[in-house]
Amino acid sequence: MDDRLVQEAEQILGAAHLLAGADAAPYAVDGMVPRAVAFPESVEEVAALLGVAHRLGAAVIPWGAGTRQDLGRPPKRADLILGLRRLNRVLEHEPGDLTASVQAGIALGALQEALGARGQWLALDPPRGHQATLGGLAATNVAGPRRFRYGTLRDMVIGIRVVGADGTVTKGGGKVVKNVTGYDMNKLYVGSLGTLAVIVELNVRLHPVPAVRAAVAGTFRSPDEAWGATRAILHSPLQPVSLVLMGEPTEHGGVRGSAAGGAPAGIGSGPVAEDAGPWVLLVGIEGFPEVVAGQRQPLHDLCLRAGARSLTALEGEELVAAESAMGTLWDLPSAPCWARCRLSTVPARVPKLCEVAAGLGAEHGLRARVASFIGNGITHVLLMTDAGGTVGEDRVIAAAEGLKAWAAGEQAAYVMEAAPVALRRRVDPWEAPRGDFRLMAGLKAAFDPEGILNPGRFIGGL
Amino acid sequence: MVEARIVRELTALLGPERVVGDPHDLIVYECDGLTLERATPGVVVLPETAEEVARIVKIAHREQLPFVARGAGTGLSGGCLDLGGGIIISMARMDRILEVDFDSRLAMVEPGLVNLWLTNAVSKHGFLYAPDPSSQSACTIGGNVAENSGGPHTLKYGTTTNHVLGLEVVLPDGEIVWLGGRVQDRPGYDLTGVFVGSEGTFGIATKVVVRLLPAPEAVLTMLGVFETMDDAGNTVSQIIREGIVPAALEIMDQLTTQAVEDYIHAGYPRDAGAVLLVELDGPRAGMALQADRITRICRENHAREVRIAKDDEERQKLWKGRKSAFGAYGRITPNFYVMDGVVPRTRLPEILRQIEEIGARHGLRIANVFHAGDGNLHPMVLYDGRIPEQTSRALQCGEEILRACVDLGGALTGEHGIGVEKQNFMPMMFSPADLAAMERLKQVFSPDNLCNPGKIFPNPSHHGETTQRMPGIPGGAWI
Amino acid sequence: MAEPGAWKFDAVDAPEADRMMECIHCGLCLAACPTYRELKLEMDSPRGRIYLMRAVAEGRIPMAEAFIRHMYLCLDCRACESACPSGVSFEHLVEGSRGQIQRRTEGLPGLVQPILRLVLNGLFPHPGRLELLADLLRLYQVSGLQRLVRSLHLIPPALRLGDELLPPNLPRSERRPPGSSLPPAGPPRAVAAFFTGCVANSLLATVTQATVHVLRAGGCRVLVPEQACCGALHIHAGFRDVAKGLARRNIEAFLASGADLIVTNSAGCGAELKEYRYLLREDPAYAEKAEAFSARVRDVSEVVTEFPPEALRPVPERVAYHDPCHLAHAQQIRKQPRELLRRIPGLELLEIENPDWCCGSAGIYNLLQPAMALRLLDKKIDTIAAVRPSLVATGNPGCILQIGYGMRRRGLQARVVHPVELLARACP
Repeated sequence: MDDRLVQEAEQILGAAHLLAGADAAPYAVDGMVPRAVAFPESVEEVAALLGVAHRLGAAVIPWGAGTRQDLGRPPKRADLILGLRRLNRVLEHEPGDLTASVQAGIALGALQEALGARGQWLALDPPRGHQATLGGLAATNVAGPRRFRYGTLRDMVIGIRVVGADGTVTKGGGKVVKNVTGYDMNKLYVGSLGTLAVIVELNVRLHPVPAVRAAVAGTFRSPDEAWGATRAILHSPLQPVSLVLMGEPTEHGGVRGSAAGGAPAGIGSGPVAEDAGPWVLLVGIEGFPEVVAGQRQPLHDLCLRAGARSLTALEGEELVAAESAMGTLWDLPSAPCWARCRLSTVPARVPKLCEVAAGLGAEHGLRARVASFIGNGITHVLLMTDAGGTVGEDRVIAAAEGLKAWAAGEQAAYVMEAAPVALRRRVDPWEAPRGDFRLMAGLKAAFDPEGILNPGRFIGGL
Repeated sequence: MVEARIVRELTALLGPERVVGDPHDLIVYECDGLTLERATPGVVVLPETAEEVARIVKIAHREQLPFVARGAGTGLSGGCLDLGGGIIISMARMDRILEVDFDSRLAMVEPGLVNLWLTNAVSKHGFLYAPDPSSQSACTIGGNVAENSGGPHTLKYGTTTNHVLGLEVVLPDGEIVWLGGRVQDRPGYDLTGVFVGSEGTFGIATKVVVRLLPAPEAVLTMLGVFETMDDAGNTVSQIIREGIVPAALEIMDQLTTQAVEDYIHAGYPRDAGAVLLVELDGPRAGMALQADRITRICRENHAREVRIAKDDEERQKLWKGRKSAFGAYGRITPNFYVMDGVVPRTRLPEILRQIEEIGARHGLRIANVFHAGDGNLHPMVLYDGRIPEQTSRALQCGEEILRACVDLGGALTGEHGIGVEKQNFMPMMFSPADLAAMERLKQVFSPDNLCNPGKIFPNPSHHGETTQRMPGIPGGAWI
Repeated sequence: MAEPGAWKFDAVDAPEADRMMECIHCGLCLAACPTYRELKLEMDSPRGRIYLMRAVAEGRIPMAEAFIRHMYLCLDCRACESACPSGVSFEHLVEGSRGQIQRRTEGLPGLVQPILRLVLNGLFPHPGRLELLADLLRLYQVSGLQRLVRSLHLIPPALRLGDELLPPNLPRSERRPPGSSLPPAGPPRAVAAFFTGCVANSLLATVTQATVHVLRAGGCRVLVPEQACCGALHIHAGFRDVAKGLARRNIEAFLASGADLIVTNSAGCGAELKEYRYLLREDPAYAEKAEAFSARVRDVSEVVTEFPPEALRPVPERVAYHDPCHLAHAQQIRKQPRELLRRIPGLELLEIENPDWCCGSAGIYNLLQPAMALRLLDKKIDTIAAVRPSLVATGNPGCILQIGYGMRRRGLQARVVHPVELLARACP
């Protein structure tokens, strides 16, 4: 091997934790096979590897569990995959402090298990996020429905340790939940898609595992009606932890097969089941038993008043099943061509977005499925077509660009958060940069002047 | 001094009512709530629109004059001092609520709006703005954004940064841009997140989009009375460990309760070693059971009395007592110096013992009242500034207390900010590389370093030069 | 020192340095201060004014144009004292500073200073002159002269607001029968010496009558000693020696009456009477007497809630209540006037937004600083208009005149009355 990158990496790690040549193929990013894949075990090793990459001008792609590598533009280059799976320890967990320090490579599921043994959890529930690593979740700042109550990692990270593009290790924040010492560097790195530094450690605030988890599921004939219920809940002093709207918009607000996009199994078996609508509003409640019990009826009443066709109280396995049904939107679709777009609007505009998605689906011969964290106004639209090849790509791109254009007109945010690489080569998955892009470009230039960290993948080609 | 032609230009832009240039007037702008540090500004201007702010900043940029935004001047770290003899841009006149959208649970406000006025305006619709620094009846939202302000209820609701969705800002070169906005999760770097808490060094916010929350259905306030601070501190940790997250958990020591009782008779016992104030809020259902759990935990930690405020009047009185603590100190000591350290909450008993030792070593009394739920301490070093060595000993105490906080895994400041007050303590927490990364971040926003220069970062030559220390006046505090 | 103006406070009746030091500069007073809310200038905030006083005390700035302007733009409404966590007596500081300004400088610029002197020293200390003026004003209205003068725009700007403030159809002055003693309507419960107040007595006679009526109805024997102006306006303006003279006269007269209580229906007067103990604290002959006097002073709302008239008749009105600064902030009396109104059957009490924000009257502030006074008045009227009352109630003559003018100016029908007038209506 005469690749200096590989040689120097091997000096740092030894051969056992380094892949190169054909062995690196499984770690191809958007079709690009890296020159080396390294699995460091310590922060020092990460720093040394970045130092080498920096010196050699090698492009570095941080890699947690690899669950979200299809987010963003294809990278400009991919020389070194920095796999963080061996940095997977819980460094500290003090239940009385409701905080923990963890290494970035720990999987969310493993972390929750460790914390759960002592009655606490990291209040983050990204769909199908069990395998994802904390570092990856922080870099993408993805979250699940319970963000309505708990926020995202942005709100939970209280301290951070990163390795900069030149291999310098720095930290920000600290170990306490209330801390305004210096700039809030946590916010800089969380959600920066690994383009400014590699996250190696995180200090997070935790929450107690709720004694009871439950939900009220209502079915509605239209997103408008479901919004009516949501609106009533948003105006009330009730404290649900999540508000999810699921369904499959069709052009006439109509009734495509309910199980396909609408009511998951078990929902819709309530008193007016036969007439159940295709839209499901899943309202999560959790906490001490008496708190959950006290909120169920008022939520029930608000949904009924808004026109719910059926109502089901969910708990235990039924709740898990309903949440899993929502999660199917995050599974790799079997359709030949597809894309999942995420749009952020104000909550009141979610019904309109459903209508727009339906219209675009009809126009371009696609199916569209929707899962909206409607209380936050964050809507995921899965576009699918049975057509393959360029025809399929054309259709999905046309519909996705239609959503992007609508979002631009609404001051809404847009990203195509997952799609086959063929699509992402043809169309920018990010919304157009705005007035603040100058600052973002400045940050990239300041923190990664050589452009070696995830080059070209982020918004505006950062 | 700012040159007369520049003052004339500013006056032509804003009119004489909105430019303060008389040296006899300017002295009132030489400090904020922290009177220990003073610096007289060159000129003070009061814009009313973002465009006016932009034009002022452009003038400053053109003339390479330093400038700093000021809200109500209630800050406690000297954050809005004009160290460079340039322009103070008072945002106080930009105090309107521009939009309220309950469907989206948000409001768009101008930065000079008084914090409490926002809650007052939305409360009749059943909403509130959650961050409630104790100065909320006077401090401004813009100041809260600069300092990432907290308050007694951050335990449950988080600090300002968790409640700001977007900002319109005037950058240090005078350009107006939006960071974030009404919608969540906009792709790109979290510029809103880094701006909040940047202590006015990244630019000037001219519009702020904040979250509104529905007011809780019920609120319940409890008082636990303990013989020792240790027992009160342990109670706090156990409450948290048992999965209860109250809206607020506040502890006062005996020195404080006695001062408060002498002053306003809030109903605290004078002979207790510590009192713990617990506030629960949320759905009415189950609140009584929560209170029972807390009562049990207090008893298990040897509380000699646990009391639930029976009506709103008693509740208000207890809180008034808590919030008057600093005013009350003003009556038992000629001077006091307030700290704002943080420790992990399980280390509270330990830090309190250390604080006592530090006080004893320097021969000074130190009172404690603090946000126990967050581990955010406000030790109050009592001293007499007329005795020269007492002032330096008080400052020495402060430094030692903060060092102890950091050594226990804590932080230099939980809500007051670094400002000029603690800039030279930054190396206690951050390495040169950490600070260099922060400096790099600042350079992106403020390459000319004209926007509130001289703050946050260590500056060993600073004290006694750019600002004048003023030990004769009690350090202001309302926390 | 090259700069003009007087430097440093002298020792005579000066604002006390220790009291200034009680201010911890926290800024909680800012949003409570009407002039700060309007101008957003730190110099025109309570904290800023104290800072300026300190600067004068330390010899950093002179008592000259800027300092004088900021001291006199203060309404002395004492809202800052309600907001202050340290219990700073702002009133004493600003009034002490004005005293120094009046004694040691030329005072206020332009015509204001001589007019101030004439009104305060030539008119108010002399009840006879005040009553004569009231009669002349009534004649001015009744004769149609007011209409003529207004239509010809003959009034100089400085006096225009004064003219506008006059309520239409001034009632006849209540000539107080000095030394009279009026028995209670029922069984005697207390002896109350009535401090009538200059403005109420001369321009708002119905308030005086109502006060006597409700006191008697509640079981008070009402004494009306020979009395002088309370001196509040003089202290506000900085004429402290005149005020002390008036205070000594009142103390002698009221202590001699032997009454348990000294009752007034004017919030401004009441606040000042309660401050005689401070005003005369350094007067060896009067310090003790002043203490005894101030301890007995009560606002009429305090007395009638303690000794309430029984068997009230309905008064079907929607009443908006405005807290006079000198009741709410100076005396911390907020509950009693509301309680008094709530006792009246059929009366609906309406809470306005920010009921304790100053209406801009503030003694004769509205005559000295008409621009600021009108800004504050407009805001007050907005909040009153929002609740659509049939009447406005407030317990201070200055506020009654000021808000009455504000209502007329906006073409709003609701009259402004004193709460005791409503109680008197309910009281057979």
